[in-house]
Formats: sequence, structure tokens, C-alpha cells
Amino acid sequence: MDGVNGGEDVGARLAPSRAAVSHWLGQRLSAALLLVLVPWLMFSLGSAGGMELDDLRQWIGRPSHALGLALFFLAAWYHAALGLEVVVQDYVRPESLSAVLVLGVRLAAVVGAVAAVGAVIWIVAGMQ
Amino acid sequence: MVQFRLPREARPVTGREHAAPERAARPRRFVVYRFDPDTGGPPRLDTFVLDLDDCGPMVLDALLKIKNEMDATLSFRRSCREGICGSCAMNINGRNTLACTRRIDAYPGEIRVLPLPHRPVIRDLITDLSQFYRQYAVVEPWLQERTPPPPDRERLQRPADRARLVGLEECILCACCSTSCPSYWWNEARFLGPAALLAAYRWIEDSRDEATAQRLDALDDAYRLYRCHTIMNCTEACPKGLDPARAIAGVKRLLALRKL
Repeated sequence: MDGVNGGEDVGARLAPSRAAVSHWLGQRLSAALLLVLVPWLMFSLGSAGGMELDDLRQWIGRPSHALGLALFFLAAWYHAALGLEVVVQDYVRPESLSAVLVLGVRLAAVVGAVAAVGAVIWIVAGMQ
Repeated sequence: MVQFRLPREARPVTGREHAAPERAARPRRFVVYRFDPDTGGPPRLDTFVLDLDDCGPMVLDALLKIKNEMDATLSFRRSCREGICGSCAMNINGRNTLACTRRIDAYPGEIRVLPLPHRPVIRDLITDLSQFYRQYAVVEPWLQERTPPPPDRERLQRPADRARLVGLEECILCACCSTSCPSYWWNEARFLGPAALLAAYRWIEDSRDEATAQRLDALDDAYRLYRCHTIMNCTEACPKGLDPARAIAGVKRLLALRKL
């Protein structure tokens, strides 16, 4: 569908990326996951008000809680990265700066997710 | 960053005031955007006071009266005066619409008439829509066949298949939708905009078209399609009552189903 001549229609001349639907689906699926995990986390932590540090470690150390927490961190960082990418692509110019920022967002999300999930694993491992 | 305000030289200043005729029974103020590239200077907002008892009922009638009787230099596009050609698309009291289908008495008080937003202004209410038309061409808005047509008749369509095109094929390309879309404002070079995407979906939905996969491939792009964030200004603005936002959602749904 390319090949329209002349003008400043970059959209007409650049080949489509063919990967955008994955981004869009990822946003929706991670949002659906967070719709379940955020209330679960809020309810769990809210109902355990006044927990001491050791109690919290015990709570995280239970396999189902650790799994849920790891899933939450992965979904949250993934969803945040996808959303921030959209904001950057919408508003940041020039496109070279936008591309660099998108890479930065992805890197920050990977670091954040690895650190969060690593912390959960570390706590669980410390309970054994 | 994208530009959120007009450059200083493009911000309109207060212009001339053209008074109402003597003994005007129903005077009404029309504030009209004026820009003449030949004389230079910033655009201005001229005020024309018309007597509605001596003017047709539509906003386009008022503009024609201004041009014929008060200021012949006022420039705007118009043709069919019945909402078919889309030529007189402009921004009236903050909304993109067709001047020929908007009644003056539907607006209380002063009526502000500006060109379609975020398009280069050629003169007065005339904007440059070249980019808009190029984007329309990108979706290849014509029937594409892979198999030869029947030798003895045209390609037929069942009534149920034809019904799927209702609400998609009535677009008159007035550009009211695309130029009301913030995503289009910020990404006009790469986002195709609601009008072109509505046209794309019209051909995707056409049972006779045999290029659906290629059409979807061409739209699976972070900018061409997915700059749409379902703001729905397009649907709000469409003077033909069409729903480009729904059509765009249809394209996204088909792409997602194909992926899954």
C-alpha cells in the first residue's frame, strides 16, 4: 500500500511495522491481568494491616502469594512500559529522540521487573 | 515535543468590524477567520453583523451573503449546499461541521467561523487538504480482485453483505473527523486519521474485495492505525452521522483476532 508520490506523508512512504497488534494486545491482556491482581493485592495487604516485617516475609513466602506477587510485578512493569511507549510516541519529537526514549523505557521496565521478581524470589529462598 | 500552541505569527488578532445594515430587525454577529498570504501579517478575526431577516437559514447562506454584499474577498469552498460534497467543512463555534447543513438559529449569540483546525491555511477558510487526500490514497480505496470477474455479469453482492457497508460508504471526505482528532494533530505525518481508516474498513468489510489480508497487513503499524486512542472526536464531529471510531475498532478487532 505504499508508493504514493510526493509530499510529506511519511506514513505513506514507510513500510508498516507489522508488530503493532502485539503491542495493542499486550496492553489489553496485561490490563485484564492487573484487573484481577491489583484488587487481590490491595485486599490481601489491606486485610493484613499492622503486619510486622517478619509477618510480611512469611506472607510473601507462601508459594501462591509469591506467584501472585511475581505475576503482578511482571504485568505492572510490562503494562507501564507499553503505556509509556505510547505517550512517548505520541508527543516526543524528533523521532530519533522518541526511539531512544522508548528504548530507555523498555530497559527501565526490564530492570524494574527483574529487581521486583528477584526480590520476591530472594524472600522465598530465604524462607527455605 | 509536539507543538501544543500555534506559532505567534499564526495566532489571530482582532480584525475589522462590519456593522449591521440600518433598521436590522434581527442582527447577528459572525466572527470570521481571515488570512491573506499575499498581504502578509497575522490572521485576523473580522466581525460581520447580518440581519437574519434578510439572510438564508444556514451558516453557508450567511457566508455567501457576506461575500456577495459586504466583503467580496472572503474566500471559502462550497458547492452542493446540501451536505453531499463536503466542500464547506469548517469549524463553527468550536466544532468541525458543514456550513451548509448547520442552521444559524441552532447557535445562540455570536457565531465564530474558523478554518478546519491543524491544517495549513491557504486563504481565509480554505485549508490545504493535500496530506488528507494522500492518506486516503494510502488505503487504496477501490475494489481489489484476485480472481477474474464472471464473464456475463458484474460481481454481485448479497443484500446482507451490502448491509455491512451501511455507515461506512457514505463518507464524503469533508475532513471534519480527521481534523478534530488530537492524535491526528500530533501525528499527522504518520497516523492515517479516522477518514482514511474508515475507508480502509469499508473495503475490508466489502464481501467482493479480495485483498483483506494485504489491507490488514498495511494497517498493522504503530502509527498508521494505533495512534488512535478512541478519543471519539471523529464520531462526534462527523456531519454525516458516521462512526469512524467504531470502524477503527473494527480494524483493531480483526487484527487482534488474526493474531490470536
